[in-house]
This record gives sequence, structure tokens and C-alpha cells, in this order.
Amino acid sequence: MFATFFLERDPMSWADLPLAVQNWLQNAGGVAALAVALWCIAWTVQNHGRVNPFAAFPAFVVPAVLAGACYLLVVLLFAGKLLGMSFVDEMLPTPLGALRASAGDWLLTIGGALALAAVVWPIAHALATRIRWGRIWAIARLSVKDAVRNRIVLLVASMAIVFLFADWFVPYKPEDQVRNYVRVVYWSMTPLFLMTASLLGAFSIPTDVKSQSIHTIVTKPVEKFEIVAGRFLGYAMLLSVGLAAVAGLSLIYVVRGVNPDAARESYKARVPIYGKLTFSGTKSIDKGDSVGREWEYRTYIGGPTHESGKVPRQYAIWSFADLPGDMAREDESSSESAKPRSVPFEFAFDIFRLNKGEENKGIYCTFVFMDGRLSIPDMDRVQKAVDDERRLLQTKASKEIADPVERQKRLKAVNEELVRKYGIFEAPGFEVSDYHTQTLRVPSYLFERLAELEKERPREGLPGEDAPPMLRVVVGVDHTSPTQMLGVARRDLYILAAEQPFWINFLKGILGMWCTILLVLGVAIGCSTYLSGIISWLCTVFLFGAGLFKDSIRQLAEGRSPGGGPLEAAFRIITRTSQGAPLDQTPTASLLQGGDDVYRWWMRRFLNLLPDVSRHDLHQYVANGFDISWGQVLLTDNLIPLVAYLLPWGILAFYLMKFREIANPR
Amino acid sequence: MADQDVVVETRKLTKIYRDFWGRQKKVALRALNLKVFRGEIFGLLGPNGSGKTTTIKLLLGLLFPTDGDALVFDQPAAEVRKNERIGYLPEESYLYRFLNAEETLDFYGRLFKLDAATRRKKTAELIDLVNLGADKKRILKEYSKGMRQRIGLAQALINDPELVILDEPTSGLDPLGTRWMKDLIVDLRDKGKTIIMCTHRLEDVQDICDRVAILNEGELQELGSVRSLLEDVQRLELRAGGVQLNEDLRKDLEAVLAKHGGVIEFIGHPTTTLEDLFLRIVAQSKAHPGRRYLPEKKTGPAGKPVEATDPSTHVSR
Repeated sequence: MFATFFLERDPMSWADLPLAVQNWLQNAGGVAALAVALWCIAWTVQNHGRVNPFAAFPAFVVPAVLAGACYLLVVLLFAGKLLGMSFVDEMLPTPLGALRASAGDWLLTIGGALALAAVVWPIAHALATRIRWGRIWAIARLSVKDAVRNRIVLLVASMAIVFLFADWFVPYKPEDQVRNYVRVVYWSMTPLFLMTASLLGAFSIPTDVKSQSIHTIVTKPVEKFEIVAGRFLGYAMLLSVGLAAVAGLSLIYVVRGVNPDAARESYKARVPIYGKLTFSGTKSIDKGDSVGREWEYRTYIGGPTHESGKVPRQYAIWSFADLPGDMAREDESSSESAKPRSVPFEFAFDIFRLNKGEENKGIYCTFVFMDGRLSIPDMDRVQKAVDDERRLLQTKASKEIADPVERQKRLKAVNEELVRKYGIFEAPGFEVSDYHTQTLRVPSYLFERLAELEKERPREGLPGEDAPPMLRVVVGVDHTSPTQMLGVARRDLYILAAEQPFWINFLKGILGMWCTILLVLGVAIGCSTYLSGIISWLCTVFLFGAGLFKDSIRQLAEGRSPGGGPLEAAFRIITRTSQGAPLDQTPTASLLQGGDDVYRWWMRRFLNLLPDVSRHDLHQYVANGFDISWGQVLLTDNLIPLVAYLLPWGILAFYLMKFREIANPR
Repeated sequence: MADQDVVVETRKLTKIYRDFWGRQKKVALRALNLKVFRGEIFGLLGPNGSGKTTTIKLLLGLLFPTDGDALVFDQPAAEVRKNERIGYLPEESYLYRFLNAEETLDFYGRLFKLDAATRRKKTAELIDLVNLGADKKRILKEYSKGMRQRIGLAQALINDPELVILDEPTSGLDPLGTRWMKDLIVDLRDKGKTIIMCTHRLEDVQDICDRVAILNEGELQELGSVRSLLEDVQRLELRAGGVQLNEDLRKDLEAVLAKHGGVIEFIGHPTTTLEDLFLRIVAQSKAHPGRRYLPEKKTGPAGKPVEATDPSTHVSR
């Protein structure tokens, strides 16, 4: 069976979109405002370019002036704070991710939007009046012919080496086979296509400029941005066709190479429904205990100890706010002739052992599935009531029914009655294996009961709070596994809502790679509108490489890295101070920390330049058999961020080309 | 000519190249004022670095002026729409070498938004015009420099332009090609098109240009019609037919000139140009295949062979 699947960051959802748009407007708009300001200053001071921004684009003036007014107000807010006006504190811009937007945030957002409008207006005007699809298409066709006739596409043929020899290195163990095959083809295709995209993008326009072929194009009625768009479109088409062909061959390679056992088990794309994870009995409701591992993706709960009764029991609780109508399906693994209907839950946990335990055995846990309106104290009380009533009913059934088959039927009916009555189902003593995906089937009547309860008594939250979830899944370590710790994360337990075909998921994963290719191509072409070929390529490689470490850089920029910024860290090394220990607030330490604050401010600005590369790497989904959703993963977490990242590059490319002296040897 | 016939006008057109920091590197063109009229062949002359190509690039919008104005069809040179009426042949034919002649013309035709039928028709016409029918399927990488120059001219004419700008149009062409190009330029002028050309080959300018501007170190030195610029009013040229030069004739001529206060500086039979000689020989060679030059062997006083000095000594196989 699959090993575990983890994602350190949730894909962006529709609910996150407004905040993301606000951040984008602030960042991209800030850059646009800075560019407009610099341009106006440069034009005023040094009238060499003879391009009057105001005369060239009259419609640019109004939004630019309004944007300037917004930024001026923000500056005034900060000035008010410096002057000790306390009433401006609540109006100052808040850090990113703050729950409530302040007046300063709105000013930055509106100012950014206006600055963007000022720089986008001439582009929109050009698109509407001068830029023509036919010419872009002609240049796109030229780009395709260029790449094909110069045999650049033969690079793709190097995938044949992977197909021929990768088998030698792929482990044969069935449970790993699909994952390894998928990784081999993804990890081969990604650098191959990214290298091709970066080279094509970075060298195309500079080569045209150097060879002066571009002179024969720009002396025709061609807008210079049409060259950029045509090059992008042509190479994007070529790479898309190449990617589709190689992806098809790779899929055949994976399907052909995997043995039937592995295929039967692993050729699937599970559609999960994730809940929200909270904890009970631990120090924090959001986190379990730490076992000292550096990777903090999972936190841990322990089983009952000899101190039970003195300290609360620890539980991991998954809350599912809403459930789809009909998730139940027949249990194919059941030996009964009438297959019972149930809802599969899958989970994969980490086990951290405080003692050796039993060889080849996991640890035993109890899973409780209950109405979301019940709390942990309710759970204990209701479970006790269920146990008492079950005992009574079982005793009664044992006395009244002599036939063992009928008695068994009656006992099952008792269980169903109790679940329907109390809205709680318990799976005690389930053996959990370390890092293996396991399945637990919950009878469908629990969900029928939850749906009935929803109709009888709709869930309502307390004033100022969210409504309680529809279902809670409570996991605790049994007393039969003392001193063993269970490591859990939000995505470790989920409802298996459906299973999709593997091949569709494989191709969806390729769409993630396609987004990465377009991103690299766009950046490379954007750079090449001003820089030489080799410098454009190096810039692209640098941005892409730094983008791979964006999360780590974000930690640095937001001051979340242990040991402080570079100055503070250097100070700690020199003074041999542990990175966990607080620094004495000496003038030196304050000065260094102030320097780190400036560094972090610049890093946050720099962060906006970096592409979020890792979000487009979807091979983990495919390799571990999880469905890539069209909506959340592909659209909101891949395509929309790709467009949002490339749009400023497109704007930049438009202006760099427009005001570039094509024939200037500088 | 009337003002309405002005096709190109520059007013104090200046171009200063600067480095990244805005510091002045070179003044390529200084306050150039000139007008080019409809239907003329206008030549830009000057030594290397005189500002000829800079002027052309400014007119095409490939460079932006530092000061002054460049107007083409009464529009600023940076205006893209004016390019619909312009054809441009660069100094080197910087076309895409992975395309063949047909694809090249089709590509440039698409940039002018010509429909497919028009593109096909224009492509066939222009390929015929530049005599590349036999090579139209070969990629340009395989073309000689002269062939590339011819396909370059064809792409410059794809839109049937009113103004044709030619940068060194005869560069890389053999004498036959040069004559063909010059005839074509004159033909274009006769069809009402305006031609601006810059070249180092002064004989080309003299042969076909109506007016010329001579630039040096970015400044305009001379501007006017070729005839008026070349005319030397201090001297007199006389050509006569049906008479051979002899001593009597010389004396008579000296007497006549002396009467009017002149003296003979040179008197003799005119020579043809090397270009005319070359063209005549090639034409004869085509008319008589196998014809070749063989030195006439003569035995000298010391028994050594003496080569014939008469270039008309030929044999035909």
C-alpha cells in the first residue's frame, strides 16, 4: 500500500483568493508606483529619451496622480505615528495575513490598483487598437520553425535514454513501484523541459537583436510587444506539444513497467476530504507535543500513562465542517453476500516509540466518529451511556434469542440502533502501522443519522463563533500501547470520497509541469527584452533556483528563522550564544537587530520577485495516488498564481521593448 | 518641388550615443536638416562613421533622436503605422536563414496582414523579379551573399511601398547584380516610388541618384542634385565623332581655345568604363558558349614566347 503523503502548505482555495488579490495589488502596484515615480523623475531631470509620459498617454495621468495621493496618505500616517499621534495606530498598514484590513491596508491596495491601472492603460489601449493577433501568430509560427529547424526539439529525444535505462534503477518492491516510476519520469522531464524553455526564451530576442534580423521586423508595421507575445506563444505551443508527446510516452512507460500487483494496488487517484486538526490534552489546541524532531510537520499525542487521571488524555481531533450527501459505498472486501455500505476513512500516521514495544506490531488506537456537536467531555459521557445500553441490550438478546445466527444479527442491529440513537461510532483497538496508509470503514448509517440530525437541529455556533462541525473523528492511543507516541498532521486522516483513474491524474500532474515551463519561459523572455541572452538565462536560473527555496527565504524575511537575522546570527556565533537563548538587550544587540529589521524589509520586497515554483510540482499527488482537483489545485493554486506572477513580467516586457532602441549598440 | 511632395523631413535631427550612465559617448548626427521629395532617388554619402546609417535608423524608428524631429509621411519616425508605406533593405540581408525564399516572403507578407491569396501572388511575382525562381525552396543559409541581397530586396517590396530605404543595396553583388539592382531602383523611381539609399560606391550614386547629401562626422556637408554638385564650371568638355586625333587638329583646337583664353589640358580618345567592358564580355560569353581567352603565342627575338596584348584575342571551341 502507499506510504504517506504530505503537503507542508495547503493549496490556495477560493476563500484565500480575496486576501491573495489584495496582497498582489499591494505588491505589484507598489512596484508599478515606484516605476512610474522613477520614470517621471528621470524624464524631468534628464530629457534624453524625449518620451513624455504625460503626452504619450494622457489617460495615464489621472490614476497615477490618485495613486500618488494614496501613497502620500500612507506616508502621512507613518509621519503621524512618529509625531506621537496615537489615533493613527489603528490606521497603519498591518502585517501580511492580518485578520482585519486597516485603513492603511486599503490605501495601499487602492494605491496599488491605481498605479497598476496607470501602467496597464497604455497596454490595454495598444491591445485594443494596434496589437494584432495575425502578426503575433506569424511570429509564433516563425519561432516554432526556428526551434524545429535548428534542431532544438531534438533535446526532447534525450528522454529516450530515461525510457531505455531507468528500469535498471527503479526498485522492484510493488508498494514503491508506481511511486518510483512516476518520480523517475517527472524528475527527468522537468529539468529537460525547463532547460529547453529557459534557453529558448532567454536567447531568442537577444539573438534577433544581435543578428539584426529584428530590424526587418520592427521596420514593418509591428508593435514591439507583438514580437514578445509571438515568441512566447510560439515557444509555449512548441513546448506544450513536446510535453504532451513525452507525457504520453511516459505514461505508457509507467503503465508498461509496473507489475500487475503494484498496478492493482496503486493505480488510483484518491479524492480525499480533509478535516481541520485540533488537539485535546496537549499544551496547545493547534499542536500536539514535540518529540524533538526538527521537521515539525507532525506533532504527537501519547497514550495513557501511570499518571492517567492526573493529566488529561491526549486526543487528535479531525473536524469535518460539512459532508457531501452520499459518500457511502459497498464494502467490496466484506465476505458477506449483502455487501454492507460504509464510508472509507484512510490514514497514515507516524509512530514515535519511547520504548521498543512489540516486534512487527504497530500501536493500538481508538477511533471515535461522532456528531460534531459533541465535545471531548461529551464523548466520554455518551460513550459510557452507549456502553451501558449496549450491555443491557446484548444481555437481553442473548437471553431471548437461542439461534446463534439470529442472535448475531440482533447484536448487529443493536449496534446500528445505538449509533442512530447517540450519533457516535467507535472503532477500538485498531492497530496502526508506522507510515502506512490504512483504511477504516465507518458504517453508512452514522452518516445517515448525522444528516437527519442536521435536518432536526441545524448546527448553530455560539455568538461570534463558527457553527460546530458536522463530524468529529477523535483518535487516541490505547492503554495497550503505553508510552508510544502517535505523530499526526492534518492531511494524515481523510475521508476517501472517490477514486479517479490513475492516467487522468498523471496528465493533471503534467499540467503542473506545464505551468512551471510557462513560468520559466515567461521570465526568460521578460528578461531578454532588456538583457543579453546569457544574462537573461542566468537571471532566469537564479530566480527559479531562489524560487525553489522561497519558503525558507520567507522564514528569513518574516523573522521566523531561529537565531535571528544574519547580523544577530553572526553575533551569536561570535559570542557563542545558543540560538534559542534570548539576547541581552545591549546597545550592540539592539543595533544588530535593527540592522536585521532593515535586511528583512528588503528580503520581503525581494520575496515578491521570486516565483513560487514548488506549488506547481504536483508529482507528489500522482506518485502517492491522490487526485489533483481541477478547481483548488489546478485552477486556484496553479493557473491563477501563474497568471498573477507573469502579468507584471508582461507589463515590464511591454515597456522595456517599447522604449528600447533596437539598433543602439549599447 | 512643392511642399506637399515631401516624403521625409528631418529638422535639426541629432543623435548622441550615451553609455549606461547617460554620459555622452559619440555625437553620431548633429542638427541634420533635409527633405526628400516624392519620386526621387536620394543618396546619402559619407565615409564610415559619418552618420548615414544612423540617419536611416532614425527614420525607421530603430533609434530615437536625442533632439530634433524625423518625420516620414508627416508622422514621427517612432510611429509604427508609417511602416505600412515603407520598405527597408538593411546593409546585410539579416533575414531568417532557416526559412526558404517563399517562406521568407510569406512571413513578411503576414506582418502586413496580406491575405493568403495576395501573399501567394506577391511571393511569386517578387521571386520572379529577383530571379530566384530556381532557388525558392532552398533555405537562405545556402544562399550566396548576392542571392540573400536579392531576397532582401524582395521582402522590402512585399508591401508595394511608397518609400524604399536601401542601406548599401549593391553590397555583395557582382557587376551583373549591381547593374540589375541599379536598373531596378531606377525602375522603382519611374513607377513613382521614393528611394533613399546610402552607399559607399560613388559610381552607383553618380549613375542613379537624383540628389545626394554628403555627411561627415555627423554633419551635413553638401546637399543638392548630382549634376549640380559634380558640374565643374571652370572646365569645358568637348566630345566629337567622325574624326581622329592628329597634329593638325590639335593645333586648330589650341588656336580656337587660345582665342577664348583657354588651354588644352587633355585631348585623346575616350575610354569605356570597366563595368561596361565587363558586361559586354559576359554578354558575349553567354552568346557564344565555350568562348574563352587564349594568349596569342609569338616568338620574340630571343626565342621567348610573347603574350598577345590585344584583349580581343579569343578562340571559340
